[in-house]
Amino acid sequence: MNDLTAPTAQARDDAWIPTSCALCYGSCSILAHRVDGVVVKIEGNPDSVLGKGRQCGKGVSGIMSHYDPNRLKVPLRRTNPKKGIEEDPGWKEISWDEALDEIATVFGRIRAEDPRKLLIQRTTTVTAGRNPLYAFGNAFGTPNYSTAGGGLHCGNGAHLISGIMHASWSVTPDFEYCNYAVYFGASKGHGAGHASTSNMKLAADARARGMKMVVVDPMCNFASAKATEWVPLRVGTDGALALAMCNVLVNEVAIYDAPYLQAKTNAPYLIGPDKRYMRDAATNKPLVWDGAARAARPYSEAKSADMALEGEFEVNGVRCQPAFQKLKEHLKKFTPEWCETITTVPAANVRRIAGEFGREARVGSTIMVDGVNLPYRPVAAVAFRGAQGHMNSLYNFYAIDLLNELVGASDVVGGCLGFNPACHGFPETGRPRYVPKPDADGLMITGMWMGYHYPYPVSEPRMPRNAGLQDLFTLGMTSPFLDSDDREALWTQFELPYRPEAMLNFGANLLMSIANRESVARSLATYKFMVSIDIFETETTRFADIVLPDCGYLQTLDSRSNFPFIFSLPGGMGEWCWPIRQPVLPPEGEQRRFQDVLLELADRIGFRADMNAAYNASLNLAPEHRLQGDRRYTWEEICDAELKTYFGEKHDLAWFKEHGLIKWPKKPEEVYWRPFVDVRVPIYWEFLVPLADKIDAITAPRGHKVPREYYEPMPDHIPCVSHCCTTPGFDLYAFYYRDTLHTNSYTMENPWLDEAARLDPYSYTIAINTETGRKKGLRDGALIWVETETGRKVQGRVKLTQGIHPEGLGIGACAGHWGDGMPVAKGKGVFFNGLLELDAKHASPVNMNLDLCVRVKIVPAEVRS
Amino acid sequence: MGVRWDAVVQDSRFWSEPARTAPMTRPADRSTAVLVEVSLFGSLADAIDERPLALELQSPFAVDDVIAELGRRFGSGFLARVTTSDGERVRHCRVYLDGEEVEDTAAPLRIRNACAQMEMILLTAAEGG
Repeated sequence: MNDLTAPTAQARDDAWIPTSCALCYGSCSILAHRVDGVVVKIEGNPDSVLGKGRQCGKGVSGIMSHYDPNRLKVPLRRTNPKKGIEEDPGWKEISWDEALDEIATVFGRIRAEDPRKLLIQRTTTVTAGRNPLYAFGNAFGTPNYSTAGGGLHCGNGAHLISGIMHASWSVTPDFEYCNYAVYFGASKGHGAGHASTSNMKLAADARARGMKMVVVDPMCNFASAKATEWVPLRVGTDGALALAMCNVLVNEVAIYDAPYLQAKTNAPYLIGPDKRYMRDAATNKPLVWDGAARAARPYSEAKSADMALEGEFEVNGVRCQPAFQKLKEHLKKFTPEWCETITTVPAANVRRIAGEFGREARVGSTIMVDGVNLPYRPVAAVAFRGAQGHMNSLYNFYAIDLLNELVGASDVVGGCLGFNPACHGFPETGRPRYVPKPDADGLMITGMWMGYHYPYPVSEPRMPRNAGLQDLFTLGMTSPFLDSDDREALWTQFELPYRPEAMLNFGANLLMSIANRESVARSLATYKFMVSIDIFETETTRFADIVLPDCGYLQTLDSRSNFPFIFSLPGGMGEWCWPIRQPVLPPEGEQRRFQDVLLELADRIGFRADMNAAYNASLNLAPEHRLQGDRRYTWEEICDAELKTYFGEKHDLAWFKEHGLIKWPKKPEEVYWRPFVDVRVPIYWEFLVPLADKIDAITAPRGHKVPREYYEPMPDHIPCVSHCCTTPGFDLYAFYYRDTLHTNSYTMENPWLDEAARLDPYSYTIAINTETGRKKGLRDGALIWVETETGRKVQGRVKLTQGIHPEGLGIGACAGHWGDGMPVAKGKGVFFNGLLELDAKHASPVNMNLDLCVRVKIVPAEVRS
Repeated sequence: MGVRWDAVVQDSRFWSEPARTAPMTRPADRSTAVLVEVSLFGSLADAIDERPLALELQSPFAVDDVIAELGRRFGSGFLARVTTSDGERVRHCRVYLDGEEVEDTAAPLRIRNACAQMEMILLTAAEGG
């Protein structure tokens, strides 16, 4: 019987704890209301810039993920040596000592033999995993990391080009001032993605103020529903539309920002017949044509206003043209009429939208912001996963960003902003301070990056030491070749001197997130030893040898829940904000924080000094706070050292636990840094030409010829594999979209979010255009098979809608769990990735992005009575 | 209307301000021997048997000189991991002298004491998401 007198005899625990959400990588600031040791409510933290007190449906539902009875609570050891999708691991409970002993023994042997045999795999959903796992891997000595589907599907084009052109991880309209935004498959401002809830408010205010929002997307869902105009197009052809719009701007209506192109891009650099820069013999700097001097001069010695953008010149007997002249001529072939045949967008609409974009840019105008006079270009073209998730990922995103570059709407008031590429630092310490800088050619090097593999200057290709081959295909970030069907053939072809043997997996469900599960399962089964740190037994966890139960986001500590600022702090004016994530609740059962586990493993294996050095470097700790020798610091001490490094002695971990976050005002020179920093961005990617030569010099002798059309210095339309399908009956383009109700494959286990998704007509169904469906005799709720040319197929129920392109077939991403470890998620929705091939033929030859659209046919799966 | 971008650039010194006061150092003594204790971490650690490795160098010297000396001792395999084919330090090789990161590895170092501590580690990670 309960003792009803007990609660009144004790002081009640009733506290609102400031911390950070982790239901997606947006990491918004929250307040967790804890009463008598139980979290009863989660709200947004109004003191924070991250959400400003707002939460999305996922955030408020986090409480249900935390208290899910299916959470892992004890370490598990596999007893069945066979690994496969249908294999029962035969779990037995083991102690932490047993688990860590075995892991330390195996990892220790691997580290002694060849540390590269360890692959570190992590989810992108939990941002807290990034730095500790980097530190562990760098200290261990392995170069092999992967961020599974989260990285492979959305990052290789979007982040690469945002980095090269905007010195940031992603781009967003400057909502406070933007008047005309074109979204190409982007999720900025409607409850998903980077700075998700912050951008919701900013975007809503912008629309209320009158910002016109044009959404280019095969499906009219989250972004399009808020749009002024939805532009449906054939799946995977966004780049073709952008190229035609660029052509209209430059060659039809002649709207472009010449002073910007002269001063802030390589548009005036002279290009020779070999597609390379003409260079000064003495300094090796790229030459421009100086109109005042009537001579070619190094770019650094001519006034920008005197640099020719057009014309043809002769330098040392060689005929050459400015890059802009080259681009202008190159764009002529992308007529609106051509575009219509590729995208299905009517030519008249292409001209109208391009014209509106150009006129709204107000080229040449300025505006005062906080007393600082700045260029004003209130238009933005933004893109993300939708446009870049294709074979032609790089050119698609490049072409879209060219729209911004042509009208000078790049990191200026009202334009397309990178997320916080320049920070002058906290006023009391000057940290963190970062700003883009020029390389020897004057082109921009980002001041801050999420990893250590900077987008530019492009690394020199070499024989691969990474199993993902990123050191050969150096514009790639996350690689498909860790799991692809042809990975062994590629490793042999390029003489990889070892093979991955062990995997340390932190939360990634790569069996669901990368491509078809059979390919990934074959890869997973080859690992001799796999450790999964997770909160649920996912489909991927069932391939592990040892499973370690992690703490959830309400139980853990992270001193940088929203840093680097280029990731998810909202762009535009406002405040800098550094929140932490802190424990609100204790671990349950035998759960342990993964950060502590990694430190314990370093101690057991014997590389704590390396771990300390890796944290010193990756957290950029100040000399007075660096971790010393092989001293066994706790995770709290490491977090404390980082916070004091950036914010001074008085702002230690204890201070942050009480206050939750620190913030200070942004300055116009930080937010609109571009006019103040002498860097240029490439409208002509000259560096692709020698890059292809260098890669080819390695690969051609080994039987792999670099397809040069992907390495041309100006963007082009290159069809996806799906666009080339001519097999009769395969008449639809299947694609997935990211349902804002869910985050990757994780939240489908959340009962509240699952209920919302079941109430939503689209989350768990297959969206097909109403007219297309009618012609095929389909009705709402019909059970169908979606089949590819190669015989892959998935099953689901039809939802007919006018809000999808007639050739499109849309499926919510990462649904269709089949494992028993997440019973709420099991059997819900359609497993789109089951349609995806996973091999080099379906990956971009330049940045390794996986092709995410598939040509399909549909077959009824039930006979109507 | 019509304000030039380069005109805006020329008017601002905002980003040329120092981030914070540089620590006090004494100028490099010319022609004096300096003991540098080099610690290699992570994947570089297997290049040597001892940590730290004591090197005696003539001041002034640069990080590039230290890397070159390490290359002489431990071979081209070591250099290939920390330098490009042009001999420049790769970006993901981080070098710290007495706890301060050294970005310009060609610049002569300013040494506080007769013995300096140098740490090197490779930070290699691609990132997505």
